[in-house]
Amino acid sequence: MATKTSERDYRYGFSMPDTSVYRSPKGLSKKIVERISYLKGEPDWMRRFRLRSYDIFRAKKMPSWGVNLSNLNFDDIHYFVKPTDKKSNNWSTLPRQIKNTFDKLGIPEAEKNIFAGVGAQYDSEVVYHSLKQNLEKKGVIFLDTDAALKQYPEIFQEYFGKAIPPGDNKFAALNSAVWSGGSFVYVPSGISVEIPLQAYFRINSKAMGQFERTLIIAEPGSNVHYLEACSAPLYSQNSLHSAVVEIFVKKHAKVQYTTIQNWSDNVYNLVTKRAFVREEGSMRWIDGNIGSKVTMKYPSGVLQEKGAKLEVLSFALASRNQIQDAGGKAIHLAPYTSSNIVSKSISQGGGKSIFRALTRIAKNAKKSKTHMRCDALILDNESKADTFPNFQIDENDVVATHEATVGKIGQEQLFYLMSRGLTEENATRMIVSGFLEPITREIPLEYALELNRLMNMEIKGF
Amino acid sequence: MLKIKNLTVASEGKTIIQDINFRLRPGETHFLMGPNGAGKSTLGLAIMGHPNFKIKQGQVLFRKKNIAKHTTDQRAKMGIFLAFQQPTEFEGVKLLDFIKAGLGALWPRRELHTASVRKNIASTLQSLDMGQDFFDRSLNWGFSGGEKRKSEALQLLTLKPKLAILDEIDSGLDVDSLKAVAKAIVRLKKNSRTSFLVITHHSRIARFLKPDFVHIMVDGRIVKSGDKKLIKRIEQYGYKNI
Repeated sequence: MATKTSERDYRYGFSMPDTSVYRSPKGLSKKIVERISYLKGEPDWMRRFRLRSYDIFRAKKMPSWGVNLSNLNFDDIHYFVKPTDKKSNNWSTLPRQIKNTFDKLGIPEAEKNIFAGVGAQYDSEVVYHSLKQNLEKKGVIFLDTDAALKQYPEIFQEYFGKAIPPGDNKFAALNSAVWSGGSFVYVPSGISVEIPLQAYFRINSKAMGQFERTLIIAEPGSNVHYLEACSAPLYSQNSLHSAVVEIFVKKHAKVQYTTIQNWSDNVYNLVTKRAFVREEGSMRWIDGNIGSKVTMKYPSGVLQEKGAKLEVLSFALASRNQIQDAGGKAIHLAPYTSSNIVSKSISQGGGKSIFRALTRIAKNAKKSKTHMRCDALILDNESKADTFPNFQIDENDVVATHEATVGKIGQEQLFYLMSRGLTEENATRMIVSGFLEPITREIPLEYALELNRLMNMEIKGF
Repeated sequence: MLKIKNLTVASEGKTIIQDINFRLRPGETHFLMGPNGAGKSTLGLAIMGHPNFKIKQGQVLFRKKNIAKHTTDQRAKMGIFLAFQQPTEFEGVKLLDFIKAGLGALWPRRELHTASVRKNIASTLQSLDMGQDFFDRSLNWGFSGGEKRKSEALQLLTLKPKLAILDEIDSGLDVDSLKAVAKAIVRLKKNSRTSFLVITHHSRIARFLKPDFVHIMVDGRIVKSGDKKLIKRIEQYGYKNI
């Protein structure tokens, strides 16, 4: 069968004229870091935190493993682009270009139909935010992270940078120095947020760095589902997206964090995500990567206390000129903890997908369980898939299992579906959607449908 | 409906079917019988356009059209259906979604709402003695032999083809299930005037579905054709000595 190497069919690649009110010059310096902090009117501790992080960023080497990032030029990026002075909780008062962008992306409509609250970030800052009144009354906080620093300084300072300190890795240090925007979610004890909160991250500017910072705190017995999506215009110059997401799951609390990443093919997506999970708490990452030029992302969980649970369900589609290096990380520090890392990847048109995962079980984390499964589906002869599962287990009384499959779509499968009238292309799509089903069934229905539509657009068949 | 003319089929250079001929008129039911490895299933797969089986000589004419150049999905759209002896398994593809996709492909202009499709198939499921939860299971995934037959029968009854090739639809079914499947097929034959090519090495399905013609295939050749009395002779003498 012949292979096709067509470009991605990316319908979010439009851009709007630049209407930003401030743009830092290209490149990064102490002066720019100070400037960002000054423009935001931050307390002095945050200014010092940023400067300290900047030094760490400069001192740290690029990662010696994973994808080659030598084409990423730190001097060719705008680190801060302020889109507007008019933040709002009313779409119609936003600048026209910005409102049109989110209309085109269908965010206001989704807000009406699906979500309990919505945050929308445009370049460096969140421009729109809303939360249903009944949740506000229950004490749920859903704000952009800049606003949270001002309005809830005590909670903020208690958790910020505690799951992922600046020294964690070079990109976490970079984010810590220049962070801007992102979501702050606080769910009080025993409160259940029944419908998901959504954040949408849009890059509009050329050669832009987006560094949102998200902090989620789920108090004991609470429950929340946060969902994020993103996109960007297609430019010939590279952009960088480097977020830090920190989550604290308290005793018996449950957090689900769903990501549908659909950056344009010129975006480096280098993200650090970590959750700390207390007794009988449960953290679940659903991590979908369809877009970007290069993604390196391994959502992780530190299981700190007895019975804590972690699930990482990830799927990736690597198309032409894309590398998706994704997976997960589980750190078991207490007895009776469990982790499950499942990955489904699809490579087509010369794309490359890499599964990379680590499970570490500390001495005395007795009766812990971990399972790792990765399935890779390769749609043509030019595309690649690699898997790097890794276990470091220092306790004998545990159960650790691992499965992996790498395969192509079988001729018999295609023939069977085609014998009922499906074209080869549609048969391929049906097989791919079945392959992803164990993960898509965990996503809210409306999103799963949208995701299927996206995948159908992207999957070209043989 | 279907005319097989001097047909020779090979796979990986090896001839499997050698110079066979027969003609199936609209509304007729033909049985293709023979021992294991005679090439019966190959004929079904070749008619459906399986890429492993190449037509070396001769023709397959469907409604007077040579179908050699048509892809498998085009043949399905022309009205040919193959009930597989060994259906492939698909994890994560819901049976209902698959049937819906098939209906959409065969009748692109018809409005297909999942709810109405579900309702229409529900009665078919009932006639096959299948629970309604069958809808939501993954296509053929972990199905028992009997469930696989019923899944094929369900697709046949829903897609209502002009020509149905049934490859061993009777194997692996208990007596009650066989009866239910056969009855549903007979009803389809009556209501939709579907023609049938039934591949089997059992005579028991003939009790329900009466053949107009019977062909005996041995070592890739049709060694004898006749009416349903031929089945009796096979029961007596076997394929070798007929």
